[in-house]
Amino acid sequence: MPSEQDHRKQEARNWAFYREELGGRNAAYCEWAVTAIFYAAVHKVEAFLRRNNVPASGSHRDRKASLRGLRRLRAIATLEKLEIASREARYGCKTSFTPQNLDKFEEWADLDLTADLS
Amino acid sequence: MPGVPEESVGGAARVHSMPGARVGGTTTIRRSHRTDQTQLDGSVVSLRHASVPGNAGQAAAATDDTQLFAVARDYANRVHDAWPQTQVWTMRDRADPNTMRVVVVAPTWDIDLMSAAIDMSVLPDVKDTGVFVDPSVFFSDSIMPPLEGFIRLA
Repeated sequence: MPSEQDHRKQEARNWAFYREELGGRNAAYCEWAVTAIFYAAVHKVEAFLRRNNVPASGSHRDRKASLRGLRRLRAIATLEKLEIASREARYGCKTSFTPQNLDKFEEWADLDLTADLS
Repeated sequence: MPGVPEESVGGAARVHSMPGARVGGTTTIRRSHRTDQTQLDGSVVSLRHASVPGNAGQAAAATDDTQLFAVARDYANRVHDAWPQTQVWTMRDRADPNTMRVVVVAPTWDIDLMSAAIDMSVLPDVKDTGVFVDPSVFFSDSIMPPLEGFIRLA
């Protein structure tokens, strides 16, 4: 099972791919840009889950359930928004994300993983 | 329903408003052993997922259908009040009996609508009910999920 550190490295690789290969907020292939951002966020969450001794997630739904168990409801909501944008990019053939959209996705990917429910 | 007697306890359970929640209309949930539910248009839909086989203890401890659907309906009303062009569908999560899956369907991609609709699921008076609303947003001019088993709330 990948460790917390493995997921941190993979998160950093996704950010590097987004900024250095795709061009960041001005990416021509914006559908891949949003997907790279989404997977950076996924690895951030997986690193957080490993740190809290939660096993690797088998699916996006499993990941949300684990976050729910740790009472991270805002993080679930933010991850869901990125998943929706990435889904529209990958499967909905949406290629009209603006630099402002990508700025917002970057902001969302800086997930707040503090507990928000007692 | 032939061969499926109505439960004597409960029979027709009215949806009650949760503290801080706003539930529109006077929708009635009819319960039978198949836990059928009357939809807004008067048709009856079977909630096949209302019990969790092999997980009876957890299911018994879970919040009852009335509370779950009241929270989901309140969320649906908030979304639909803000964006009347949306449809809102729900079903109880098969894996987590305290979670209501909710699908919001908007006509076309709208990042602000999508973001705000998701954020509404973590408003304090929603999350404090102990019922988890697990929302997603789809766009009818794009890909759509199968809605079999879902009930339209708005």
